[in-house]
Amino acid sequence: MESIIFHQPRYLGEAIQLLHETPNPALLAGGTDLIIDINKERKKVETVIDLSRIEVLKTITVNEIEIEIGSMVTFANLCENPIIKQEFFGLFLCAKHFAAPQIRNMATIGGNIINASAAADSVPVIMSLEGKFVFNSVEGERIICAVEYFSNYEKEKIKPHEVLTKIKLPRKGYLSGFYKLGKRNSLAIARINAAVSLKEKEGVVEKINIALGAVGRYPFRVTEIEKICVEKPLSYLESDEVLIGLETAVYESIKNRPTMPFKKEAVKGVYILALQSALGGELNG
Amino acid sequence: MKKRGVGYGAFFYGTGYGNGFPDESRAVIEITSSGRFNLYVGVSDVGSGGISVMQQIAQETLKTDGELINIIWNDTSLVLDTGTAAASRQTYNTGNAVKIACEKMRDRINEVIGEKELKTKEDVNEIYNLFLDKNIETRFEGYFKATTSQVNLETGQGNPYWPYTFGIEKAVVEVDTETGKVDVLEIVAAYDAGKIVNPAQAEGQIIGGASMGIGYAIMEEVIVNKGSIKNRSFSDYIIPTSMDMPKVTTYFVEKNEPTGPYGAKGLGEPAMLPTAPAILNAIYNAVGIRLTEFPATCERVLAAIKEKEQRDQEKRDNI
Repeated sequence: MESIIFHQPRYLGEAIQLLHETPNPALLAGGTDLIIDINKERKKVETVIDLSRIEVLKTITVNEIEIEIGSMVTFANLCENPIIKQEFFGLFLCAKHFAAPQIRNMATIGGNIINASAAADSVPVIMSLEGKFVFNSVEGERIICAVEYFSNYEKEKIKPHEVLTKIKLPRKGYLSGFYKLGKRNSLAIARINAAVSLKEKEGVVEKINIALGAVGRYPFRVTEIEKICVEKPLSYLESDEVLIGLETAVYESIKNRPTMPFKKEAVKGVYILALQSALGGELNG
Repeated sequence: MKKRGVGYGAFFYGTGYGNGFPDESRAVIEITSSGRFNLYVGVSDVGSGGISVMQQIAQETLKTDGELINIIWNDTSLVLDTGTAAASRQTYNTGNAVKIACEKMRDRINEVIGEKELKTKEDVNEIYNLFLDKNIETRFEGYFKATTSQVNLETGQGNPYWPYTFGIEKAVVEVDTETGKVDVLEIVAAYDAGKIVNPAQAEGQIIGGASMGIGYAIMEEVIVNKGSIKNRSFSDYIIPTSMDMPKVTTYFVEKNEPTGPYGAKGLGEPAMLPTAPAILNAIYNAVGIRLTEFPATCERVLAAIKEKEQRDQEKRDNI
């Protein structure tokens, strides 16, 4: 293997400066994808900028209106944070069922987002919670909502001189849930995942956000279905109209894939389990 | 909706090479001046527990302590051929060879000191010195060959395997009718492998077999594309994790096998045989679908459920 130039900045400013000066750097977060790609020679890397020593990226801060999760916060950290468990239950469930303990200790939420896998577990949850990404570079700060980032990915994706620093989630008091269908109960890549965040008043839906993953190139929100659920009773959320809407959305998204017949059926069950976890706390498995 | 079902799988399994193939084992026991016995045996052990089993059988036969037996295994310059650690044959076949060698040794010990147990190095050393004084051999060989014969293809008669191990497992599953996901909630296993030489190891073998059976039944799949295996590593060839394993309860029906060492038979391969059929039967019991292809992935289960719903609907329409 050829030698790789390795930088380990202590401060965000230093990292941003390095990003500005270095052609084609690879950003190292938890390394659960990058290191494997380098070892297997799937990715050729000349310069690595390791973000693991930058303390500010590893913090979770809370104010009146939002929670800010540093991009280097690991999935293990997310599981342990009491506010995430209380107010962003879907994200807590996603983190709890993410891979296996060793990977949860290393893998970061930022890495999961930037890797932009179709099956990324955290992305549907962030979308359903109306999350935003904060990028920094020498040019300053760029804030973009998660849905926009992935729906317009080629234009909006991270630039070579940018670093994802934070994920902002508004504290809207949503009931949120998440379910992942994998080939086994842990250490599994999602076949399909779904995240649901909603607000209800006396059994009536005020607002609902539904995001689906692994049923398209990137996770997405099903806004048409969300709209028809508003001002309906909670029981409507499991109605045929909603379920057929989801089936159609998945069909449209992956029409030509061999997995389509399975996924357009299974998405309904995955969504219902995500919804139930939002309404009734954690389910088995 | 989640539906539960219960299924059983039962089997009998011939252990050993079978069909008249020479199924032989040899072992050597030696008494030494260091106050210990050396047991030379070619049992290979990659976690199967064969070495402990041989030591236990030697200890029982020699009426001594396990600490006083050194086992020398798998050094081909020192040990005789015991055949392969395969066909679930080591406990039965090589166990018999060890027992025969140790019986020869113990018979000579009985001649010099009677039935007394050998509890210490000094006890063994005393025997060794007595053997030297009386000019008795210090090394004895045991040989065992399983009784198996080729099946007569005309009459269908013969003893293709000797002996047979029997077992049955119960599986309880939960099937999610909307995603096709199958969770195994419980396995109960009952086995007749004769006398169980090492109960903790035998239980571990059953639990390990059950985990392989669960993988076989619901997730493991070799994906071949134009003759090339696509999922060649454990990151994409999926096997169960601890999160996929239910509690496994084991029962042993210790029916004496008269030709086995202390009545023991093989358990190696039988441990994974009934799990997958039990799971498929439990899926049938839960949702009424008969799968004839492994593994019962979400795709296959969900497709079969939808197909059944459609069939049932057509039946209703016809009435």
